[in-house]
This record gives sequence, C-alpha cells and structure tokens, in this order.
Amino acid sequence: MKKSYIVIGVVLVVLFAIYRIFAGSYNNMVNSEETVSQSWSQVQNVYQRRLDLIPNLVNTVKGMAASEKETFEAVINARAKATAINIDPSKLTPEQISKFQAAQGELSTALGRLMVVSEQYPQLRQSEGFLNLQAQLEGTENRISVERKNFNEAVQTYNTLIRQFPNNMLAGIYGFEKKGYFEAEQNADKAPKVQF
Amino acid sequence: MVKKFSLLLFLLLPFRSWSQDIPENPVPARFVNDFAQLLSESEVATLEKKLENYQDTTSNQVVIVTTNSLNNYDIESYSYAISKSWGIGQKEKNNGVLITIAPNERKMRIEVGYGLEGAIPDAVCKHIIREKMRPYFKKNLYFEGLDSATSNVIKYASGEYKAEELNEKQPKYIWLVVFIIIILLISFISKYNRTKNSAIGRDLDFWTILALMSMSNKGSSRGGGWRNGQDSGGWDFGGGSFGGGGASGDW
Repeated sequence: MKKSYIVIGVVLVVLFAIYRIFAGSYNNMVNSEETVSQSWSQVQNVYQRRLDLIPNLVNTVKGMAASEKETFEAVINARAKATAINIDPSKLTPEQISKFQAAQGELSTALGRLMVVSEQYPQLRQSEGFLNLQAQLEGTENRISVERKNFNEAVQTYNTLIRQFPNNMLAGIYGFEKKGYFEAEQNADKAPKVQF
Repeated sequence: MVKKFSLLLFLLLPFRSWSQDIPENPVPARFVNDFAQLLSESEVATLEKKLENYQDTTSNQVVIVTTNSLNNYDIESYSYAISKSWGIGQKEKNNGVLITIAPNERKMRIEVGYGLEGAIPDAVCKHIIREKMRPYFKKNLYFEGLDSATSNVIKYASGEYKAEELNEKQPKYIWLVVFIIIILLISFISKYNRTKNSAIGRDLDFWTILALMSMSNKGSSRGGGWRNGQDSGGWDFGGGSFGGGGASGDW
C-alpha cells in the first residue's frame, strides 16, 4: 500500500520535471525569438530613416548639380527596390535577410556614388543644407551598422539556443527555425571615400 | 574555401570582446577621463565641475574620454563600445553624451544617447565638431575645444530633461522619519512594559530595543553613506543606451 504511494509520488515528480524542461526551454526560445524580432524592428527603423532622407538629399543635390541625371536615377531606382522589400519579422530566414541586404546594399552603392559626385561641386559642398544632409546620412549609416550588429548578436544567441541539446529536438517540434545574419560586406555598405 | 573561411571569421566576430580594447569604466565615476593627458589638472577639475553641475540640474550625463590609441577601430565603433559598456546617461532617459578625442589619430566624435537624439541631432553634432572644436584642436588648444564643445552640447540638450528623479532618490528625510518612529516605539514599549512590571515583559523589552537599535543603526549608516557620497560628488553611470547617433570629424 505504502509502496504504491511512493511509486505514484516518483512518477509525479518525474512528470513535473519533464514538464519543467519542456515549458522552460519553450519559454526561453520564445523570449529569445522576441529579442530577435525587436532588434529586427530597430534595423528596419534605421533603414527606413535612410529611405526617408533620400528624397531631400536628391533634391538638394539636383538644385546645384542638375547634369548628374544618371546618378539621381540610380539612387531613385535603388530606393524603390529597397522600399519594395519588407520582411515579416516571423520569417527572418537566411534567404530573406540576404535578399534584404542585397537591395539595401545596392542603394548604399548608389548613394555612395551620389555623395562622390556631390563632392565635385564646391558650391554644393559649402551649402548649409547639403552639409546637414550629409551629417544626417553619415549618422544614419552609423545607426544602421549599430543596429545590424545588435541584430546579429540577438540572432546568434537565438540560433545557439535552439541548436543546443535538448532544445534542438524540441525546437523542431515547436517550429523554431534558424534565423539569418547580416553578412560582412565587401565595401558594399560603405560609401566610397574620395581623396582630393 | 576562402569564402567559407571568411564566413567563419564573420561568425566569430560577435564573440570578440571589447573589454581589452576600450578603457574600463572609471571607479569612482568621472566625467572627464583624460587618458591621453591632454589637459592639466586644473583644466580637468574645471570641466569636471562644469559637467557635474550640469548633471545635478538636468540629470544629463556628458562624458569626455581622450585616448592615446583607438586600437585600430574606427572612432565610431570605439566610441559606441565605450558608451555601451559604461552605460552613460540615466536608464529610463538614455540621456548620455560621450565626447571622444583621439589625438594621435586626430579623430573626434560626439556620441548621443537615444534620449537626446531629438535635442542634439546629427547635423548639430557635426556643426559643433566643425565650428566649435576643430579650430581649437588645430591649434592644440584642447581645453578650449572641449570647453566650447561641452558648452554647446549643454546649450542644445538643456530643456530636454530635468533632474527631478535624481532629487527623488535622496532618502535623507525618510531615514530621519524612520528614526523618530523607532524612538517613539521604543519609549512606548518600555512604558507599556513598566506598567506590566513582569519579568517576561522586561525580557521582551530588552530584545525589542536591541533589535530596533540594530535596525536604526542600519538606517542611519546607509543614510550617512549617501551623504558622504554626495559630498565627494559620488554618482554613477546610469545605464543609458545609445543607438549610434551623433557625428564624427577630424582635425
């Protein structure tokens, strides 16, 4: 009689322990995924900030360097492409991230060229409006690199978590998938610097 | 193969710790951290006083770091790493500003916390660097440059935050009130026990007083600690966050 109580007790404890493992790791994964989503929205914010800056910038440069039509068009097209790519935070797969990164990288290159062209117009280089926009663009590029780094760190924590034992087995059941990183770029994201 | 290797390198990148490459946060906290020794003692004291007074009225933390070497980082990464690891600015307000000067690389940066990005936009930082710092730095007038930089940062950031929360933290009067209550309690209990006039009562009285005394001691010593801290200008980095706002320049 007493033995059966002990058996039941042991079974209950074991069941509870298993429940704790499942629930605990599930909650950890949820938290970690939430951090990734938050960092992603920060990434999107700063990229959006850059998109918002571009019309002003193009107009300012246009005023004093109207002959650089091709450069403007390249920026405007690249901006349109980059605007078209929006990623649902729940689908941050490596493929999606690299697609996003490619479109934004193209825009960075076009913007870099625009800034180089602008440097060739002394009148533009000295105008208050242009200098302000230039400072804003630099600040935005720096924010982008900061938020990308934070995002990569969050993804790294998350990916490590879901691939650890026993989470790796549970992650599949719960449907947690590996998320993509921003990859280091070969100068694509850095506005080329020109020395005079 | 090379591509794989570079990918591996990149994946390792986030593991790299900043701790060896940037100065540790000073204990006790200081506003002026002249690691490159560009300023005289009295100049450091003047700036320190100025920034401390500014914190006292607004709770904004404006911190200066000069460094002999950026350790091959660009000034943006270096300055962001310091701001992040030190946690300049108050936690809820993110109202920190970090002015980083690297005389050997001839680079400078004003890093602005999330909470002050509206008050000191990037273009303003750039303007301060270009017009208010660079002319002095070109003549090696570091104190004048930093004095003008801090004055301008202060000018723009003022009005964004007030120091009310800092003042609320002063628990001086609370401890006085607690102390009075304890005294009243003790006298009340001892009176009550005297009227009962029993052995148990006296025992209880003794232990209660002892316990209350130890409690009140704890209270007054903590209060004293706070006061000492305030006299010597004790403060701490509040844990504010940064998002890469600000501007850089050279001279």
